[in-house]
Amino acid sequence: MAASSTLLRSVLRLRRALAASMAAVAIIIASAAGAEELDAAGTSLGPRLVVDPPMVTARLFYHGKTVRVSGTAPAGHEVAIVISGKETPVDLKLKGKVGGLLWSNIGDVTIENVPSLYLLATSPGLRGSLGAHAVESASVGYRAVESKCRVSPARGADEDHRIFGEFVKLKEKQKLYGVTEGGVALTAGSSGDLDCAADFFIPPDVPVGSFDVQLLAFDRHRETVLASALLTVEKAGPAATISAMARERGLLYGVLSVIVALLAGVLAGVVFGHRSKRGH
Amino acid sequence: MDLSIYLPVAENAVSIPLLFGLGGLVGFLSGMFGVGGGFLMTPLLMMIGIPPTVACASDSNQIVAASASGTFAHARAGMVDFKMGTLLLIGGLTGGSLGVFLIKLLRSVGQADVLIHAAYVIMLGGVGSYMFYESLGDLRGTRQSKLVPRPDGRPSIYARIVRTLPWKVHFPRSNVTVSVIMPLLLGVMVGVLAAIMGVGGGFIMVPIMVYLLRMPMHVVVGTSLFQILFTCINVTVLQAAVNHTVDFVLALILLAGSVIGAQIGARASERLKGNQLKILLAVIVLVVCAKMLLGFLLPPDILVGLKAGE
Repeated sequence: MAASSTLLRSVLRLRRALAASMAAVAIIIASAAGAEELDAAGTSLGPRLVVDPPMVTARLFYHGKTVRVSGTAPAGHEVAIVISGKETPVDLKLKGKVGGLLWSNIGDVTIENVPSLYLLATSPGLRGSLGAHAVESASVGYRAVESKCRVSPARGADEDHRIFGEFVKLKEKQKLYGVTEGGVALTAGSSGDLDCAADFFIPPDVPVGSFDVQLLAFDRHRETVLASALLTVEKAGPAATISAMARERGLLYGVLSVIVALLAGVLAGVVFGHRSKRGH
Repeated sequence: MDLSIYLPVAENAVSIPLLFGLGGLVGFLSGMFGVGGGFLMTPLLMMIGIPPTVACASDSNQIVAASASGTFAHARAGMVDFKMGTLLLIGGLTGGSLGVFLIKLLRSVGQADVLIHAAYVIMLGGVGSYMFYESLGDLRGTRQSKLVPRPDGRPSIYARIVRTLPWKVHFPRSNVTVSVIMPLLLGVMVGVLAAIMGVGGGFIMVPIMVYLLRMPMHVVVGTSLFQILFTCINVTVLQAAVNHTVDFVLALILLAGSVIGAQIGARASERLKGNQLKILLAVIVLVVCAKMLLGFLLPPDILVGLKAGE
């Protein structure tokens, strides 16, 4: 028994060491090849990134959950951790002045390919170490999100950029988008690597589904995806039952909702009626 | 201790005491004035993070409870004109369907939102100011009743038109005799406006019953609630079946507050004079109007908004 657990620990240690080596090798190879796109150099080392808990369950008394994402990065790098949702189109109403006096909706626009959730945390020295320009041209951050999206119908580069900025403000207000510079804590790991960790608050209005979690490393020349994992948000218990019934048996759900409301209304009438009669 | 609850259809968590309090406040207004309260509740729910479509649909569900509670209380006191209410309801449901098509037409023309909001502000401002002025005059005893003929002895144009309409019916509960065309036509008008504005229409229906049908204020409140009850049953079932946007948990907490509020409101209504009720409702309508007007004039924080359903 003791021998087998010792063997298991040795295997795990070996696996961690191997994964760390692979990450370092990936960065070296990427540097040597002069790769500029993270996809070309990206290496996914799933076990190196831990999402705790990996699944968030929304029950009736759920009010959001803080999730800790931790991993390991090669020494001498800055890191970023990003949680992003599926890219979807979002229909928006544009607000503007009508007749130079009244603020109202002045048109509709669709922003295509924007993530449903975008939470980014970076290590404290990322901007200082790489410079603002490098950060802005990275594959993470709002610039990166904007480069992938498309405003439809297009209204010219400046106007599309302004609309995207307003969209980000809206999403930040909903707490579905956020960038926290310095949100990733770095500490020296036992094997000379950097242990990195960040806490993310998953707000209650995040739609259910799976979200990509990525750990990226940056040096002066390039960036690399070190590891990726999944975070899942799902409903459970009565919340899941009610939601499924509303979706799948809408008519019955509506009729039942009305019956309950009618009963509650009449019951209140009877209760208050009796009290009233006693009172008078 | 966090007293929030997760709303499975709205997909958001909201404080239970806050929802209960909102339900109670709107239920009180509903029981007191005979309005559904949707024109207050829906924006309040949106302000606390409920998606617009879920806010509208779930609010309808809670109004079913509040209006059932209020109708029960008023019917017990003999203050519901079921005959008049049924005619208004038939007109209202027809008008609602017409309004849905009209809004589609307006949107295809463009600038529909400006037109709708402007119509909303003008109507609220007009109705509120008139009710306020008229009730104030009554309370001070400086205004003559509208039923008294004009100084020249001739009835008003409106009165002359009403008198010429056929199929006159007596409504004993309201003690008025009018053509059945009147409540049907007015019901259609309110239904159209309610569909365009996206509200239940109680706050338009109440002044119409008072000023155009000449019903006594206390019967108006109960009859309006009776009519709202059936309108909201229809909306709730349709929203649940077609759009899947009724959040039962949200509606349940709101209605727990609103049924109690409606009973207290109905009690308060019985203790106030008709003119006092009218002037209070006029103040609420004017406050909502002022808020909308400010929304028109002040620049918004964010220059985009999610379209309904997002």
